[in-house]
Amino acid sequence: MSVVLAAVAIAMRTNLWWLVAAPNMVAVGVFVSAARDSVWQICSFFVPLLLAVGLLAVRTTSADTPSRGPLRLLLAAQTGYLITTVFWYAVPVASDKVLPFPSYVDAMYFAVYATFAVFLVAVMRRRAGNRAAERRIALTDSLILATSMSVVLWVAVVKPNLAYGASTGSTTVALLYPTFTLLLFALAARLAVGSGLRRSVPGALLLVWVGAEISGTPSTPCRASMGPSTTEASCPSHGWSRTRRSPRWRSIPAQSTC
Amino acid sequence: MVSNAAVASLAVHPGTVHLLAGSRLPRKASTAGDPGRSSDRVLGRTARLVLLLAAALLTDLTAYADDDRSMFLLVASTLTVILVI
Repeated sequence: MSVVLAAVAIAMRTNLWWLVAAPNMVAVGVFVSAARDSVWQICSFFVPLLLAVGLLAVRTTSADTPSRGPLRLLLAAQTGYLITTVFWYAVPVASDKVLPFPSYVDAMYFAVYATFAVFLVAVMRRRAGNRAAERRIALTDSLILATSMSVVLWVAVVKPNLAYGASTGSTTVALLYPTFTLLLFALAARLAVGSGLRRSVPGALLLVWVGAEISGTPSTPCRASMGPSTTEASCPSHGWSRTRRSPRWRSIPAQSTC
Repeated sequence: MVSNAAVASLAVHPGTVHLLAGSRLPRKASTAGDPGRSSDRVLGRTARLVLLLAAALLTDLTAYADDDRSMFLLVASTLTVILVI
């Protein structure tokens, strides 16, 4: 344990961040290539989650005051993400019960995404320059990109959900996921075009994080409804949201994929 | 998983504290005040706008297709080009 902590401390003071990125990428590779529902796949799924929370906690405690505020927000969001994922996956498996859709897990995910958005706003405000013209150009660019994203989301996610005929509650919760996708995308686009983040490694990592997060968000309506007795009616979202990025339930039948 | 991997790497990168504190990041040479590079930026924005219109057109054209996957790939690739520019 002390060896690991020492390695983390060295990586944080030097440019050896790839020492953390490499095993994470190995975990992603193991998850993709391992047998479905195997112990290897499930363990590799939680490795990046636990590493992210642990390393953020170390970084937050050791950071200077100016960067501690945003770090605390990111740590809170990542911790919430970890806890929510445990509630979504481990608890139903242990209790052998199926989560309905919508459920409390969806509310927890929305709280996490809202915290992510607050974190991005905090970063954006700290990096906002004093040049009004630059800010206006960045805002225009981000609006253009967000508008294009909204077109995609409307056609691929919102429209199919509206036509699905599910209950009002299910449809509303299902549509909140693409709403958060659009919100995070707009904030990330504003950061990308206006703060010079693309020109630095931590900035690029931040954008990779947001990009990977929002690319998976449309699939999250299916998260809470995956289970042995899940039906299409309880999981209205479809289209590209059929893709999964997480371990499957052990006893999920073929017809319950959403 | 990739998003969590990126956060873990972000947590250990020494430049993260500068990024979150709002201080200046090490960056490439600035193009401010260079008329040639400024016109390049204007051209880049124009190209981005044209690609946006192309993406909207593609989305509109493929909205009637039954194959969601091909539609998504088309639009996603166009958006990627926009972001790269």
